[in-house]
Amino acid sequence: MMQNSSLAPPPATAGAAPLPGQRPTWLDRSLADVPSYVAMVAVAFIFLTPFIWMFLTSFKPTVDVFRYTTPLSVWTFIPPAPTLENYVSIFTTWSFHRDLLNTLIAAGGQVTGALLTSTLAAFVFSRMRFPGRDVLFAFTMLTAFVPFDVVVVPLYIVMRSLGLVSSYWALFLPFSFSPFGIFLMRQSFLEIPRELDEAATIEGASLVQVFWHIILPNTRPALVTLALIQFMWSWNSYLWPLVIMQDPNKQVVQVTIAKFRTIANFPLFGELFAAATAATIPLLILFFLLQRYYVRGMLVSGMK
Amino acid sequence: MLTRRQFVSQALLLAGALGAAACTPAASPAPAKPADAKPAADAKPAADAKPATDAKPAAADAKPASAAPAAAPNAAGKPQYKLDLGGYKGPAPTGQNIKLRFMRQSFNPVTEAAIKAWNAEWAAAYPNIAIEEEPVPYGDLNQKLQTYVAAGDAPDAMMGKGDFIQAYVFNGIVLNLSEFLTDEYINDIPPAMRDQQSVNGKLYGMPWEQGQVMLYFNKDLFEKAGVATPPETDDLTRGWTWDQIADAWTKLNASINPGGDGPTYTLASSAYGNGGPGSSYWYEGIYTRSLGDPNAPKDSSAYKTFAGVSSDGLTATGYVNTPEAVKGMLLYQRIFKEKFSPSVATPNQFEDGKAATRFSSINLANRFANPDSAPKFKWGATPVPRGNVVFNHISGDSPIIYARTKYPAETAAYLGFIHNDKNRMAFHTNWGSMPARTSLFDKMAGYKEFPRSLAVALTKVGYAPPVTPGYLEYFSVMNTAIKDIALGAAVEARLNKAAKEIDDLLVQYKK
Amino acid sequence: MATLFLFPTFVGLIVFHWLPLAAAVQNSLLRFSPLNPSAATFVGLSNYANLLENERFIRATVNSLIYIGGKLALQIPLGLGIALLLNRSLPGTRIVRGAVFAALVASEAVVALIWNILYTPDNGLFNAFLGAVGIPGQPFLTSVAQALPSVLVMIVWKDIGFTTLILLAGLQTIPHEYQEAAEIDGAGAWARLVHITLPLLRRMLLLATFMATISGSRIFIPIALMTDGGPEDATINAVYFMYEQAFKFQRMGDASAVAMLVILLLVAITLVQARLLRTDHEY
Repeated sequence: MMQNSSLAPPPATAGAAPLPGQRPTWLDRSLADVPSYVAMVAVAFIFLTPFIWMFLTSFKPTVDVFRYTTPLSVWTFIPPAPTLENYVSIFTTWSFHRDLLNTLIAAGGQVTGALLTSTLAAFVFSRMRFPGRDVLFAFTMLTAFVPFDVVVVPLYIVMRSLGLVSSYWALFLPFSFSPFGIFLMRQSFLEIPRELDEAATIEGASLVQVFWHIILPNTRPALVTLALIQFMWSWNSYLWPLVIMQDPNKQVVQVTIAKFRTIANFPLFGELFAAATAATIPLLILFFLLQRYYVRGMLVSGMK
Repeated sequence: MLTRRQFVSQALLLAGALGAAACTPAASPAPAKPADAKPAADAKPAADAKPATDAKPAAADAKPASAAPAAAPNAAGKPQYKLDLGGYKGPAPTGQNIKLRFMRQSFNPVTEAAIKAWNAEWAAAYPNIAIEEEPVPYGDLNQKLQTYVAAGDAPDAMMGKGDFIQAYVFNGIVLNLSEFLTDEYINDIPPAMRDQQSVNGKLYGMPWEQGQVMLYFNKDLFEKAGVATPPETDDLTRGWTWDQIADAWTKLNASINPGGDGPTYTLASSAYGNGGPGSSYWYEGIYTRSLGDPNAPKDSSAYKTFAGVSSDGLTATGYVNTPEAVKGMLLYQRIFKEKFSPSVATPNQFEDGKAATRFSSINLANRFANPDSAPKFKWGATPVPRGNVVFNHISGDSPIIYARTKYPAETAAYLGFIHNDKNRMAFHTNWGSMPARTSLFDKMAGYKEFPRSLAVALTKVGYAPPVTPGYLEYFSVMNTAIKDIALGAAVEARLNKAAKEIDDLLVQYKK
Repeated sequence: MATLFLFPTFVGLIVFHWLPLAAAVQNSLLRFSPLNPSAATFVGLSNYANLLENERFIRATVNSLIYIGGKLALQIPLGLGIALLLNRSLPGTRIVRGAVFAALVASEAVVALIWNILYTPDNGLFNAFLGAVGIPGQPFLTSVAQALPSVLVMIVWKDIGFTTLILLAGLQTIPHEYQEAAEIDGAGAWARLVHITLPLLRRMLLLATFMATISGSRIFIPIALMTDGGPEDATINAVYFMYEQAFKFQRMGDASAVAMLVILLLVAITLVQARLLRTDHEY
């Protein structure tokens, strides 16, 4: 794509060591960069501290979790008696790996569904002209504003009519039709110069071929972006799985985390922090692996 | 509902006409799924080694006790059951293949193991009646129950709350249990609790356990502050008054929490409900209602304070904002104003030795009795402080049968089974809460000894939460008001406002 | 052809979005308890009329606007600042970017739990830091004045990653030559930001604003877990009010009416935003 030339340099050098030949200039620049480094350290500190606390706390036995939170001391963070028992507990007694797998299935379904339906709809909204198109698009966007609590019961009734209550389908199907996804993909399709597909059409390509061979390959970053966001939303969803999933063997991670948080009388804080850590790490890895695409993908969506 | 249903089905037809092809592939794999998943769930208890060993001591404890009641029902001319179904007296469970759904909260691992063990026993005796349990996070039970009922698809049995039985009955969503249970069983439930869960003499909830508020204290911290400890007694007349405890709190705080900022506090943060200030009316309501008087004339302020709501259950003004209630809330506010207790929920303070006193139920003593979770300090327990009367809120979780279940008898039989002596004792041994049946106190170890004997004594001063079909609304409004008061709101004005809010909400229950 | 392409998407939208939405619209004209939907009575627009007279609802709506406005006012400039910082590709950028992600991807419930502890007035981590620089301890979530800002700060911390990523992407598209040319012309850093960077970022800013507005209107779990809407309704917002109506006060009709008003409000706000940050977008 056209922007590649302007895009390539920053990501490529991000985080990389400076080249040896540039040493003097690098030193000069570094001095000028001191304020930036200070700001970066501050940002990293502000955003990482709670996570470091969560991560380190997951190695504290339940009785120690809140024992040293106040007054502030080194033991607020460092476990005085580090243990893996919380992780052992969640992966043996609580079968948390099963929940992780269920969540992965739901997230995978949602990503697949959203990619499919968003690209198809976006193709129509960006490439075809027919009466009422913009009204239809506006109505599509309207659903993004609906507060979820109020449609929970009607949506449950819909799922029940379809016979899908307590199935994996129920976890992701409603969110596989995403107004956000349609909006994002439409913007990125508008980005592609029309001459490209017009040329293809003149050469005899069908609409399906244009969609498949021209539009989709040229919006790969936006597709990755949409996939990541949908994955994240699905991974962290709570209310809907709580309501629609009756089979404990198909339940998702956030519901299990809530169980640790709200068991009366018997706090399972150790398990809570271990589960929260175990649930966050896969997402972080995913974001790290795909961050270049993610960053590039977002850019396409806002351009025209 | 009817109109909504019609609407939904018509719209579905429309959608179907548009998209039969798109819908069908999505829908078809689902029916096969539940069948796939079930054997795996059933096989679990057997495959899992740890729960079996955990459950054993409980079962062993229960043996001498369970022999007698198991024989008794059969002798009484009731149908022959393949299991001890507790107080169940209905027809023998069907021989057809059916499935029962039971929604409940999830418990800690040892208790879950005991539950798995009894479900395995049920599955062996009644393999045709599959039990599909749905454990949900405790805090979400109510919302899930409401969603299910609203969608018309509730499980056969659900863990409800004794407090809300009036609301369930008002809305017609629960079955009368009296026709399925022996009188002997029903009469075994402590009277106040039984009355609360009954409407017109019919029982609608099957009490699961009971809790009562007692005051725990850290003797080491009392000693350090040079303050005399309250009496460790199960004689409720010897317990301290609110004035006495407030006095002790003041002295303690001056010594162990002079700056007011901890880390050691005089009163541990509440662990009821949402925790912290305004945690749950179930606990904070004691501050006001104990200043009332159940025996005073019905039009007196003292009686109204005790009742908390008018006799028709529709008016709160004049009941929650009486001078007595204001006085009780002023003491409650002092707890935070003078920093006896931290102003945000703080877990585990008492257990960590960072609080001199704590309100809790017998679960805490039972937990402390376990060597693994024994505290590192000397502790004692005393009755909940007394106002005009010694006061406790009874009730707690209570399974109910959904009115639209297809299998009322089988559901009642299953509930009877999980409430039989053996299963109850396995549950209470692992979970630490107190049984909701008087005869079990005698059968379970230690309920004659202090401090369990104190818990038993407190069941006799257990009163129902204010009796109104709108208790859910009442409870929510009061929790918010009490939290505001804890954080400094003007007491009388805030109670007046809460009373009016409740009145406005209760209008929907006028017939 | 368009029909064929739109078909699967629209079947799904109809079944899973519009149908429930239509049911909610219908519910907003009824009065019923979730425990007894068959006893629903048709009340016309009276749910709406009652709401507009309800002081708590007005308070909740005003708070919703404050949350949205505060979120935009903090999250967009700070997100831009962090994006500018991370756009410099200094060593360590990845780690900082990862840190900002971490907040974004973590579960709201756990984040609320952690922040509750950080906000503890007596000896909490924040007050420990304030104490270290000589500022007296603050009441944070327990005070009428500070509770809403405290919730807002947590929300901004949690969501800023989204804004940062959008704007970072935008920054990376701006050709370096523009900046360099301006620098040669003697434009200062501020002038370059205002006259070159921001205009070129306008479409991204619109997207970021749109997303931040929607998420700002939906704040629920932090309020439920940190303040229950208090103290004295200081932190209640329209969505929390709606939840209360539906599941604490058994008034599904009122809750649905709240939702309709929230949707109308959001439509109005986003139309204004689209006008202010006008691009050649077609909506």
